[in-house]
Amino acid sequence: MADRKLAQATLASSHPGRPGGYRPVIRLASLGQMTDAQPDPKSANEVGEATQRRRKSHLLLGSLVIVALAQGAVWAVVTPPLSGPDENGHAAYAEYLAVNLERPSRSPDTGGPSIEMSALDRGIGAAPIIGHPEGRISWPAATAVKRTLESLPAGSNKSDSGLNSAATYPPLYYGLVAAAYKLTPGGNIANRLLAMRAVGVLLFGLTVALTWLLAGVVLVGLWPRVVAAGLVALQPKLGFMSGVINPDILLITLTTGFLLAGALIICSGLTKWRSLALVAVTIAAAFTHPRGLFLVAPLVFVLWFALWQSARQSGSSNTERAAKLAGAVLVAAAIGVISILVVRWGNADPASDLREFGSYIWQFYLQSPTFLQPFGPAYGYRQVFIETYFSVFGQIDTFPAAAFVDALQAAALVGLAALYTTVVARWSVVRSSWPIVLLLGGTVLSLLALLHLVAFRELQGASDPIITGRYLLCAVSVYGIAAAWVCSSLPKRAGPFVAAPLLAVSAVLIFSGIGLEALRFYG
Amino acid sequence: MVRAGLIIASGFAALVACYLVVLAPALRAERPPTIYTPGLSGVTVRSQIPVPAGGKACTVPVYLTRESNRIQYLLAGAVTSTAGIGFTVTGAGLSGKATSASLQPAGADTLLTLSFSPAAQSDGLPATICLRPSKAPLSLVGTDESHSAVVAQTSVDGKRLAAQVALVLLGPSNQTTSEVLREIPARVSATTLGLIPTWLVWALVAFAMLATIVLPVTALAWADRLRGQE
Repeated sequence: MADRKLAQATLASSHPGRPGGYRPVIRLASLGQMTDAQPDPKSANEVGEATQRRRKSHLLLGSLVIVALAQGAVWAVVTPPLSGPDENGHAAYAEYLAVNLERPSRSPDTGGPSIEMSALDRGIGAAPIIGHPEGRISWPAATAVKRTLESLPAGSNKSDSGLNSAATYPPLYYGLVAAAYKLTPGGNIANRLLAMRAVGVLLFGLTVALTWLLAGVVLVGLWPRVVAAGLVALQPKLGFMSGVINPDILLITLTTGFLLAGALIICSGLTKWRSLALVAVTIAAAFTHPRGLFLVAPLVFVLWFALWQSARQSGSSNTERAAKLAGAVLVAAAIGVISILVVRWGNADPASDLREFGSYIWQFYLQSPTFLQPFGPAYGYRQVFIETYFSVFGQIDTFPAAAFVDALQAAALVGLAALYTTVVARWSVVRSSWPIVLLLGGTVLSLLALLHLVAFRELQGASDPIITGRYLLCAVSVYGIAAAWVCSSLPKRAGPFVAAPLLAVSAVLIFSGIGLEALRFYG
Repeated sequence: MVRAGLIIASGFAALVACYLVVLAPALRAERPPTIYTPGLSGVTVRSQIPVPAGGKACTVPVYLTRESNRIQYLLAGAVTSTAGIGFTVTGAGLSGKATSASLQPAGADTLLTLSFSPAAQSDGLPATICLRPSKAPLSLVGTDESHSAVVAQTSVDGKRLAAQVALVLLGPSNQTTSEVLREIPARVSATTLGLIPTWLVWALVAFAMLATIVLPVTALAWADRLRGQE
């Protein structure tokens, strides 16, 4: 209780004079951090100190963004051209858009790689070695490939027709990388592909900056922000994805932006610009990848919460009751939509489909018990949340040693136990911060619900489990914030002493990931 | 100040521990000095390419480098003798032949490793390599699946095949992982088709490593110190 009062007092002083006297929602503060809140600057001296503090804070953010940019650049250079997940399809889409100023179509098939892209792909052996762990890039052929590219006739950047598996995706990300393609002065296709990858590296830096801002809204104190943004900057799979051409990186940036806008609305009230940003980011996510639709549920929640808060402040009990009722209806609607999709995508009667979906979820997260019929391949929590979230690079064919994954899984278990313990120990803070907790947790749940539903549908007809760890990167900022919150909740200011090794171990994950990628293709 | 130093020390202690436990053993491990794979075996489709006794299987182009002096074929089944297996490599200004041959079981198949001399005088030299079994026929493993199709084409006794042959171009002797990693920036630079010189790859990697090690932990200690000053 004292915890809550302290936090509220702190927050009240850190959000002075909000329009309409908005009462900010408590943040995920911890007792040890209460002194971090900045008092209102009153004297010139205090104003100067505040400015200096801001400058120092910008320096800290800048250092983390530099880490992200440098790391992303290394991934972009070390990963051979067209060797990321489905990268040839994504690059061909963007190239088609840049050259023809229209999207490729799947009927008739257009948007396959251009003649020069195919020549590069085959020449350096990027396409043939997919699925061949023993295969290596044909780097000694580079001079011959360069000569081949130089000898190609004008117009070789046109699509060589053929199927593009990415052709059904929306165009927003491809428009961005197509601009990079267009703006690359001269050079060959390898140069342009590198310029297209640079877009992802910049988006990685932006994601780190947005996480920093988000942590500033939902956490109290400066060093937890460093931990949250630092862990995002040191997420090896995110670094890898930033260095290849793939719309996932934009979706990750947009999701982080969405969480920032949502958290601002929850903590500081609904304004025209915040609501516009929230809706715009949601729409942009839907125009980046169909997976971006998972943001609709948290969007509805944030808007509902803001309206409910307004109703509370207006003092009308009827409006407040109506808002509460609307909330209940929305929760029921969400459950209804999931049930309908399960039944629609199932292949038996509704009761059986729902049971089968439950069985699939159980088997995904827990060991497959003997009394349940195996549903799909042996692919679940370990493969998605550990193996492919922290590792597995290239065209999903570069695996770390099993012992390494075992160690990661053990560390993740310790992390989950620590999170659970923190939630229990600081339950009053969690309860007081329920809108923020619901925003962050609900966004993760919404993402997982969409992924599981689509995987369930796919597993009805095929054995492809479809979910992979990189899809979870949309929630990477939540991962950073959860870890920072756990660290900042430790007693006796011990947090930084736990956070520092955590950051150091993450740095080791980066080195081992880049080394693994380099050896897979070149050694 | 002492507290900030202790925070940084705790981070570096974890880093050193991880290096000693995870990275150092991996960096010391030996691995074959693969230069590149001019041909592949199949992921789903396996082909066997028979080469009759007295015949020859030639593959072109195989791009040689100055370090490459061994080539490895995968032979179908168990093969016990290298007697009568000849090998030639020809390119612009290069005419070499096998100096030794060795066999190594690989599951049900056999790896045939041929050392040849002289090595190429420059990197990226396109060459033709020919395998000539004189005493007994051989069956080479390869594939004709389309997605694994490489540039190098193989012909047996002048007849071009639809299938390719699994091939690995190797350096002189096994290397530790750290030795292999030191050679990779030059290879990465080559794959950028000259856009990024080797020194820049080195500089980028060194800067990223330094930034990744130093900046997050130092930023954390500094942020904690700023709180202490308030």
